[in-house]
Amino acid sequence: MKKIRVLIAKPGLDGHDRGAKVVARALRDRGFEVVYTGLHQTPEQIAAAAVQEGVDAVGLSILSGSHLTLVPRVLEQLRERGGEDIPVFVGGIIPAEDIQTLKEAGVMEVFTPGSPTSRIADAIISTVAGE
Amino acid sequence: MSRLDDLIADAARRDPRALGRLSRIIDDDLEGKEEALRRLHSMGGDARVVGITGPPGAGKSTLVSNLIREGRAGGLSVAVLAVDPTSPFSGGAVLGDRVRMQEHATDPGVFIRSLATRGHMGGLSRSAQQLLTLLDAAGFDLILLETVGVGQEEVQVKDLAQTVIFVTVPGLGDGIQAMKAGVLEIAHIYLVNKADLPMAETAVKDLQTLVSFSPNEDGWKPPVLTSVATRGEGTGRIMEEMDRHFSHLKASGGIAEWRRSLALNSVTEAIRGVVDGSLQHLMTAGRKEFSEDIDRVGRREEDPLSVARRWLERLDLSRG
Ligand SMILES: Nc1nc2c(ncn2[C@@H]2O[C@H](COP(=O)(O)OP(=O)(O)OP(=O)(O)O)[C@@H](O)[C@H]2O)c(=O)[nH]1
Ligand SMILES: [Mg+2]
Repeated sequence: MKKIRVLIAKPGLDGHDRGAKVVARALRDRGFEVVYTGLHQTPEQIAAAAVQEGVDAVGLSILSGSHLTLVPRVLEQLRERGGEDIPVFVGGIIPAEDIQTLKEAGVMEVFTPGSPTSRIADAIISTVAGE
Repeated sequence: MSRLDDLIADAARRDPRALGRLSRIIDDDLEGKEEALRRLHSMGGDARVVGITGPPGAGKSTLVSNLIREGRAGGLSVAVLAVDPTSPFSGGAVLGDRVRMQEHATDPGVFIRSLATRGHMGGLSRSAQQLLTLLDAAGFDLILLETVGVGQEEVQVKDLAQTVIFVTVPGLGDGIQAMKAGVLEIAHIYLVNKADLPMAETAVKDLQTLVSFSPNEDGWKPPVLTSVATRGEGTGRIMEEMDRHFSHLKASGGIAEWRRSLALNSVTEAIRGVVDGSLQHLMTAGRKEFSEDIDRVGRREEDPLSVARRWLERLDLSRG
């Protein structure tokens, strides 16, 4: 039986992981196995962990406003480590005009505050199933 | 070369992507698993395996992180399997052990894999022993196995690890719990972590008393150590005792004994795995008939064992 396995990470310097934890628990309640890596992760750490853990998807929670620098670096690190096939999702305070930029860089979907967790789970399920 | 050939060749040089993929194939029973394990089994055999067990929140993962650092400083490559519980309600899990180990994530000499119990009892997952085969084949010098926070379950880690460290904290206070859980028969090193908290002395004395009653048939007297894992204090001493226990095992023939107990565990688990798999298959195929049999047992028209025997006769073990 193939479980859905995701990594939830918080890159960058902001110190709030409440949102990330809420999403982690919600995904667990949908039957996912969620590897949680904690606060202040560098793009290198996130990509290395995703590859070692063999996850189906990576979720990044970013509230610091530095998504336009952090997210492309995570994607680049994933490529460098042979994890270019791992889809990346982003959640957090992302201005509307940046969403398209992130998607063009390779992000599957962006979830802004207030997105129901069920939508996040559904998006991951359909992406992983469609692979 | 096939994809599996590539994966195994890459895993043999500890490529993290290959190890990540193979551990997924093994953990999830995906196609290629049996073939992979057949090949991996013949490749390994040299790893040192150390199990870390103890109550929830005792500091196991923090200790593992310290042991990685210490092992790396000594030039060892280190792999970790860290197990957290699966939620019985959803079948999902939040695997959080890695939070304490992330400083080692990008070290090419370190590989960390989080695992969920998926209903398996005994503090590990059913796949743990098979993943050990993978990490051993990959040639890691030291493999650390962190169990879930064990309460009073039977502890399987003793079958897989050469050395078992039991981590506890001050203030839990009752050795009786430890006795009930049987941990005094399984651990080779006892550690009172969080020695910065009050009552650490008492905890050490309690453990020493308990350990003095332990059987130690093989002539090993388990030491009781202290640590403050969050500050890295005590790690050097723990590593020394790990080495000392390993030398003791080598000198006393304990390594051969361990190899045999690991082999025994692997074979019985494999048998169980195949039987479980074929049973699942059979019961899914004959769902309706099975459900009628259950009803008959419920109405006491037939007894459970007779029904079980009839189904077992139909078991096709090639489908496991
Ligand atoms: N005061 C103090 N706290 C510690 C020490 N070691 C670990 N902790 C803290 O104890 C908590 C649990 O540590 P972990 O290493 O996650 O414990 P664990 O045994 O792996 O926990 P589970 O895997 O959930 O059973 C964390 O908040 C640590 O920072 C210590 O020596 N002293
Ligand atoms: Mg832990």
